[in-house]
Amino acid sequence: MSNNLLEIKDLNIFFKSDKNPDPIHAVRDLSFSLKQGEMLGVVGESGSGKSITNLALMGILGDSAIVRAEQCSLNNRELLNLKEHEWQKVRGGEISMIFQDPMTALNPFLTVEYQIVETILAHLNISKGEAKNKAIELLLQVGITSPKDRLKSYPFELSGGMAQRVMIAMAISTSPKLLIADEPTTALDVTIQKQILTLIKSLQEKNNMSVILVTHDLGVVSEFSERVQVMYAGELVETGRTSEIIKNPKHPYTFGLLSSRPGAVTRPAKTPLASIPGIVPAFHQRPAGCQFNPRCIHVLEDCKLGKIPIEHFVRCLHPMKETIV
Amino acid sequence: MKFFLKKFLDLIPTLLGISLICFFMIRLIPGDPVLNLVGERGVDPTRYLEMKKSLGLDLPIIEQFWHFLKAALQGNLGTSIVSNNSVWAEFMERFPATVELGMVGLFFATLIGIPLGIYAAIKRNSFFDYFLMSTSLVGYSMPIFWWGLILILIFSVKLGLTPVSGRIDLTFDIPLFSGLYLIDTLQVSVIKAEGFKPFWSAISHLILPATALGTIPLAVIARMTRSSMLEVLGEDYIRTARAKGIKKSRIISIHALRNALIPIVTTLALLFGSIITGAILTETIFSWPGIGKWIVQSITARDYPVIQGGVLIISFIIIMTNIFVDIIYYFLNPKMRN
Amino acid sequence: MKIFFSELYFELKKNRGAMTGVIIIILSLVIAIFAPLLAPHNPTEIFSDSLRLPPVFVSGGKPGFFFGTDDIGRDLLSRLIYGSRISLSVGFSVVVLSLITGTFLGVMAGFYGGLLDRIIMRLTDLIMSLPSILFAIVIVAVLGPGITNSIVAVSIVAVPNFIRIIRAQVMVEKNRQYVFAAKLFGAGNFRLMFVEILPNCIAPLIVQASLGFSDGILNVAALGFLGLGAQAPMSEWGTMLSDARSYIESSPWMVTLPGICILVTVLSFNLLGDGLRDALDPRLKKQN
Repeated sequence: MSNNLLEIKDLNIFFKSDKNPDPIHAVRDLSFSLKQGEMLGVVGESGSGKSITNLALMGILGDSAIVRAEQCSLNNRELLNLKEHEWQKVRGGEISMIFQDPMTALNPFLTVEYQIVETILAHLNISKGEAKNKAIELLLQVGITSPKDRLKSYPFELSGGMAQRVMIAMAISTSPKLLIADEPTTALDVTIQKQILTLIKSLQEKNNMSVILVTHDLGVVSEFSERVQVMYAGELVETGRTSEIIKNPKHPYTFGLLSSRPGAVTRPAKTPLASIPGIVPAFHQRPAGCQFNPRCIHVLEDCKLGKIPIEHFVRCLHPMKETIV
Repeated sequence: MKFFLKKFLDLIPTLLGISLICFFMIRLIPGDPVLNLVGERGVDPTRYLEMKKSLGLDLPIIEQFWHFLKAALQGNLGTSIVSNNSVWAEFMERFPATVELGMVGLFFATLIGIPLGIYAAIKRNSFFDYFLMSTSLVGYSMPIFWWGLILILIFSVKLGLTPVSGRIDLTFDIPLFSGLYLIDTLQVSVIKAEGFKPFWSAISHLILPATALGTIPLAVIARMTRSSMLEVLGEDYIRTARAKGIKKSRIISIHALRNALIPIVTTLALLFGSIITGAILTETIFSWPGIGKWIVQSITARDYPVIQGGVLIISFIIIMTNIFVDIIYYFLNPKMRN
Repeated sequence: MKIFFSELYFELKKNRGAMTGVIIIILSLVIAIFAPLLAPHNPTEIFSDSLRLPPVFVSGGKPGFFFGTDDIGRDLLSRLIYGSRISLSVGFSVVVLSLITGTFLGVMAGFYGGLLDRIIMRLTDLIMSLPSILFAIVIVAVLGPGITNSIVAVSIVAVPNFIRIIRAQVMVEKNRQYVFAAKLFGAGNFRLMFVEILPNCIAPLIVQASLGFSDGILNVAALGFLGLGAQAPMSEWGTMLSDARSYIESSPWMVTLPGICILVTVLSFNLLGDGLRDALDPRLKKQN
């Protein structure tokens, strides 16, 4: 028994495929936990397994996925053993999710009203009329003016920022305990990004809701969440307090991520922005040893052998000692 | 409103083109049009001039076309050389038979094809999916003029279950009301006199031709539904619906099917044309007294006014159906309304 | 281009259906080419003492006539073998005729746009508003029945498909950088259209050609069945079916066999066309 809202221990996700006899190992031995009302930032490039983990938490990975974990529980209730009808109560009811591109995540053929009311009615035992009133209230809460008119709109009549606000309204309509925001601002204009994140933050504090904020931008995390975990190639590579990691990244990958941001590192004028060479290895080309070793500038021979354990919140044999100012 | 107006304006050149084709058809046949019209029966010179005048063939070609158009607009499509009846009357006599056959065929193709396609999409890559896709490709490749004969061979000749030709047993005298025997045989007076026998007779006559005619549409609808469903099921908003905790049956019926229906409706419209093609072949095989058989007979008999008028009416109907489908499409797709 | 085809072959090899189609097509090609060697008899030779014999494996069959004989005593197997010659060449002619015409008109319409495009598109709308067989019937009614005329008729009906596909593709391709580059180097319109742009439109053309093959065979057989296509004594499968109709009760093999030949040939081209589409459609590729 723990008093954490979400408790994940040794989560492994595999994908069966027609081409390969061995299933692809997409996420390895992932463990983390989340307290009620806490915001956790998850950072990593595409292909690092962060989105897959989220979909696994929602139980919507599809038939080709195999999800195994020693523990994967919400409020001490094991999720992986749930039957489909129990999952349906959890999804959208206890855990809600918002996605990267609000324009494609909303059904283009149904009105905003239909989509919000449908969500409410699936989880709360209230009448249609009450659900509609609640929808209006929610739209006001997420900062949409003239909510009655907006209810009648179709998604393609909304701007991207407005559509994401509708998504958020829909997600919080059932007062979930956990909100997963999967790169909620990537598809939006820069000016809108901050508004949306501020909205999520304020809703989190007001409703005492836990939030997993997935992004590939460490800057976003540093501003909004107390805690961060960095993922790389299906593994957790570093975790800790955001303020700590921003200053003292121990894993070379985190270091690379931080120094590739403009203005992150003081460097002589006119030198190019630092970048991490190479790309995240494809699922079936994962190296032995440290997953990051082919791209790491500090790589040593022992990095290429065996499994690297996580020690002192970092999965690296030779943690970095430099600080970023 | 502008949308509909534009649609109807787009019609004009197509209809004009069709009339041009029909108009020139008779005149393009090698040889003298009057002699083509009377065929091998021969004609004396005075009668020849008379005919030429009555057909308007002595006028300049533009004027001839104008007269043809004017007459066609008034529903005057000429008279059949074989029967001497007006083409329009002959058409109206046979049209209900084709409508009945086509509607029943298409109805069952839709009724069976859509659920099969949906199920195959949900059970993607399962045995059922592979089985349905292979069978439907065979159905799609089916020469229906042969398929009809095979159906007759099995169900009429070998099993003796169904009659070979016609619409109903000739012993029944059915007062025509709608022209559709499935409806007319259910009139109170008919049921009082004969019970349900005429109705069953009509069904047993209809079942084979409708099966033959519906085979290709069934295959097309099942395949189209599957691929359309697969595409929609891969959309982000389906993932959203699942993440909202919506029931699977509801996701499929409300979120997926409705959107998948749009290309299916378009397919149905295209199938309407192939129903007429199918009717030409099916009606010939089953001696079904509809417009398909009528056209084929008139070609064999070189009854040019009938070919001309028949083609004009059929293409008009098909064009109108396409417009109708555009209108349905408009109401199905909210994006179009902006 | 070479890479394109080797990649295509690689994709196709994985598709069991498409490979089945290819094998059947190759087999029927072999049968068609070597018909004189394979057929036991001349397809038009009449054995007046052997009318409507059933196949050898049914009681009453005679050795030497493997699939039996028809109503005037011609060997059915030989006629079916020679029929594959007709059907394959019919399919080929239809595809070549409609592909060349359709590609030319489609490229012109897509490249020049404007009035020319409008005229060409109106024409395709016109042809497409009529059911294919009906339109072919009208053409044959004007030109007179016969195999050549029915090929012409079926080809005309098939042209709009090619026009639409090519036009859409050309309209996308003509705004690409490489076209501008070629223009800067002084390439003329003709060169731009047929040397620069056309090779990049090849993928949908290949699919449509395969599907056009099966449509062509099916439609010409249907015209034959209606008595408007190939005329006696040609051993065209559709015409054979039409002749056999009256004997459906007494000699069902005469009806069954030609139809199976049509079905299998048409199916093989549809299998290949489907496989080609799956292999060439990038959107489907992404889904897998």
